[in-house]
Amino acid sequence: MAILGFEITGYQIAFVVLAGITLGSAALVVLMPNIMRAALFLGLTLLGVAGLYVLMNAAFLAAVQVMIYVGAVTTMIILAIFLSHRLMQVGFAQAIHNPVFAFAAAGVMFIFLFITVANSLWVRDICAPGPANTDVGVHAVANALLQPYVFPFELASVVLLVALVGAVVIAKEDRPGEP
Amino acid sequence: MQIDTAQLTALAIEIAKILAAAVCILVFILLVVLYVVLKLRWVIARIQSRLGPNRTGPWGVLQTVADAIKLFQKEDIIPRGADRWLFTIAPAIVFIPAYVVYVVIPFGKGLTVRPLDVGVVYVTAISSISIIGIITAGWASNNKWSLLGAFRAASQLIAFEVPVILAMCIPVLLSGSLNLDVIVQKQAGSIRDWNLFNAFPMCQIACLMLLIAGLAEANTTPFDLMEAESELVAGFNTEYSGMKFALFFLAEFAEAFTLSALLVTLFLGGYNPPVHFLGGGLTGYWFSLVSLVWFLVKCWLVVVLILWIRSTFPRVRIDQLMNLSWKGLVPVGLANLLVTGAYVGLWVAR
Amino acid sequence: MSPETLQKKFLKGLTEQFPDILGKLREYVPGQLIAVLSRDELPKVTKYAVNQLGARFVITVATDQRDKTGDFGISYILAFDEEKQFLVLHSNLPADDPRIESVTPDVPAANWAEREAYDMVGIVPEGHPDPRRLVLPDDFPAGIHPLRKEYEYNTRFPSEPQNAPPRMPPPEGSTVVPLGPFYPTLEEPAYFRLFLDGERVVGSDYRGFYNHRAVEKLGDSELNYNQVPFVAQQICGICGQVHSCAYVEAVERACEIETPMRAKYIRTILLELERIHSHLLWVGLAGHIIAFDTVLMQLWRIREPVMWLMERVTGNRKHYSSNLVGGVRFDITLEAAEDIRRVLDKVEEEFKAVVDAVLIDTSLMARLKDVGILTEENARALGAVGPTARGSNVAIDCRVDHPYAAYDQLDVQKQVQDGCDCWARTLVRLYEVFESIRLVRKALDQMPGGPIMAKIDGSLPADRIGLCSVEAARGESHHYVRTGDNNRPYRWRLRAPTYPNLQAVGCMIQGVNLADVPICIGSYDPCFSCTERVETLDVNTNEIRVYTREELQELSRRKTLG
Repeated sequence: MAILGFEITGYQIAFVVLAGITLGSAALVVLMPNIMRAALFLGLTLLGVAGLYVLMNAAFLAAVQVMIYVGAVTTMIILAIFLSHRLMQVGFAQAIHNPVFAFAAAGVMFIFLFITVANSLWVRDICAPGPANTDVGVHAVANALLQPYVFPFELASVVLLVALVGAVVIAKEDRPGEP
Repeated sequence: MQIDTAQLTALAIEIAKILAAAVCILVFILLVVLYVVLKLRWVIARIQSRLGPNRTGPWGVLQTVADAIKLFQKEDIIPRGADRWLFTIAPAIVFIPAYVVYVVIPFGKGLTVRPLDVGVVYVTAISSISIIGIITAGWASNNKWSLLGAFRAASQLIAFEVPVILAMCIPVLLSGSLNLDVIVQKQAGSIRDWNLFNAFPMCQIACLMLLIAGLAEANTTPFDLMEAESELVAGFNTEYSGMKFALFFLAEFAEAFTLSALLVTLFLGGYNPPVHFLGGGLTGYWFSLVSLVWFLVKCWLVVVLILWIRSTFPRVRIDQLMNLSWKGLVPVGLANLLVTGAYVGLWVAR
Repeated sequence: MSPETLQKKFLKGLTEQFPDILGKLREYVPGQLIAVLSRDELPKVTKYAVNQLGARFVITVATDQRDKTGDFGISYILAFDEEKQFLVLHSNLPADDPRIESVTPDVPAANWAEREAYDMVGIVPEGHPDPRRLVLPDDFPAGIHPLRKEYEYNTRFPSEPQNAPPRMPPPEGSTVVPLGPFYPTLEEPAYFRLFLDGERVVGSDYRGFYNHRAVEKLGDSELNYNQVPFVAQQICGICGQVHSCAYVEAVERACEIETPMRAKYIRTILLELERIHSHLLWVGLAGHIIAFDTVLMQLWRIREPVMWLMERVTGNRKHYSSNLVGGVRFDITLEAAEDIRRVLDKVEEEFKAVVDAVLIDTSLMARLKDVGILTEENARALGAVGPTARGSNVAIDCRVDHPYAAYDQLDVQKQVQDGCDCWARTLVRLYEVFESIRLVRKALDQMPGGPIMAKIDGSLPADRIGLCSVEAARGESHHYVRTGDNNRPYRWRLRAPTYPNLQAVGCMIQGVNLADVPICIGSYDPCFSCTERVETLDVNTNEIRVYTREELQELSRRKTLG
């Protein structure tokens, strides 16, 4: 099917829809005045990213994305919202206290990402639609994680462990009266 | 603009297939929930020396149908001060994951809607989304009991997701695949080939862990802390009525059935018959039919077990529940995973 | 005063501290001493008796006696349980200045009693730490004390919503969670405001008395001696026999009526059967509270034959209408006695099976052990009664301490546990069922023949005082009767067991998890309608209405059909 001279495939339609959902909800995360709704839109953004992974035939990555980012991280963020505002207090709001600083930080982040993306070596065919063969994908991911990338993988887990222990220590110190 | 008819027809057929599968699953879930709720009442009544439903229809089988009709007629209330938008969308966030999980469940030979290669990960990933719906429901209700229920839900579901995944890793390691269909096919043969009766004691521990943690995930007594009526009025769904409540209700029982389907698939040989001469020799459509029957029979047995557990334990307290997961199931699960990995790597793979 | 009373230890202690009290003591009824003191002496004696001599504070009785003597009367009733003695400290307060120094700072158990005395009669407790309105509805006019004689039992008062008592402010950083006024596992209205830090309770406030029914007012104004028991039995949905029995025994003691022994035995048997079905009900409810509905259903199935027994003997499952001043209305025939024995054998067998299962159920213990601690010290200070007290190692049981009916001939064994938690209170009740079954059998064996009603000629003497404590399933039900003219009581005061136990709840739930609050409240077997019996007023409509049977039917049909 062709529109305005461009060849449009189902793959492209799906990409446009998913990318639209991802970007649109990402924008809403920033713009929503209600922080609880913003957190829910963050969940939708992450779900959209998972959809993009599916389009790239990375089903395993997509499933893990949903499990970790949508199931766990978003829930943690919502819990953090509950806990940082006093429990039961309904009037959540998010405010930008310093717009100049916020724009500057966002701009730096954008420039960094842009340079990274522009300088990356993209393998074109990897995102082309094709017959799914993700079982190989799972094995490939497993081999990659435990052979060439075993050091960063283990380093990441050590960092997480340190964060976990640190969180416990901080939480313990919060109540001086208790042992 | 050019239109390729063949391509369009193929697309239309594909969409029609997806819709048909979606409707089939939905009808199946409805029937299962109607039956499970009825069975729940019968089992509990028997354990409590009562009769249970026996008036509506023959043997009372229409009781839950009548209840469902009543439920749909109820007034749909949105409390003052609630976040209307989130309040309305929350039941859908809870129900849709419970519904789409059924896509990968092998009901019989060739009767899986989409035999995904990442089936096991898919199931856990999709189920984890419903937590967000429950929290949203509790928060949007603008009710302290609901919020407390939501709070408990978040901590409980996250706590038990870990042991569920750890338990599901064991059969995955043994079969070397994340695809639920492949896991079932590896257990083909007779009852001795089922995972439950192999790899002693790793599989048995994993099965028990999946049962306990799955009960907590599915929010059934003795782990129904997020809607504990005697503690939290009704927990996160206190303010819900009518169709919205029905969706929560459907999701809860659909999840309970998912749990039994997973237990059957991962440990009890899936749709395979227990002995060869009871359908093992059949092929083609006949085997699909027989395997579907075996799958449902096994699921029925597990559902009865779950209902039995439900009526013979008091509800645990939230701190006891957390201890059970973090201090009990998670360490055991990790050790189990290590031992199984060593067993598979050093013994089976050679 | 009888010579053996003079030998009692508490009296020696009292006369050492207050030498001139001896001359003011009178003993009209054995075991019940009455002292008329000045209003300065009364608080001193009360504090000394409770804090130094180990007396248990029972209740205060405020009386409007202006039509007789031109002043108000206030009586503090104390109990010396080990010495089987009641001590009534009475003081007359001038009508234009009814003040008395509050004893609550030193005797916390008197907290509600003094507030109620102010609400109902207007006796001002000076120096009370928490003098908020307790009993009267939120919108009751200020300055009106409805138990004063100038108000009729059916007087209607204007609504003044601004009079609602102030709410206790929550501690800094805590969240208020309302438990009630309607809550799924508390079948009666009660409003606990829980102050939570996370899910931990850091404080609580109670507002109750939503079910006032003007019972005492009716008893003071409209009813004669033999009408009161029929009202008294409806105070509670469970312990009706307890209240009517306590009332008639109080009158009998005051007027020195010789009740036939057979009547006393029949009262005893009915009381024990009532305790059995009440405890069975409670164990079921406790199971329900911790979501163990199988326990609920099984226990109530076991309980049902006991209800049939009651119907067999008295014609009613509840509200037995059995007691009259001087005796009982229904005899227990030989066949009925056989039925009772047969049913009790079955109940005992089935309950034994349940108890054996409960005692080894670790999941139940996990929910009940070390939960809702009420220390022995607190239980005594707050005046807890019944299984709540006995679960905290406070060995009080009116059947032994202040025997009534035929209990002095039955050798009751007190069931005491020292766990101080919900589990201990559960054990006390479980063992008491077996004890009650034993007592019923023994009573049936020992029951003498003869009449079941005393012969009473003419009207009963006026201006006498009788007290009676009856051990209900929930604890001590205390009734105080001051007789009056025209065969009517002049003042009838009653205190249900939930009244003191409810005051101990705040202490019990301090620091527990929110999930344990219902079982903590449940663990003392609350009976709010018992506690709340004084005044009736529909807060919403201010309307007192009597529905006919047809109207009620119509109303229920309308509600059902929507």
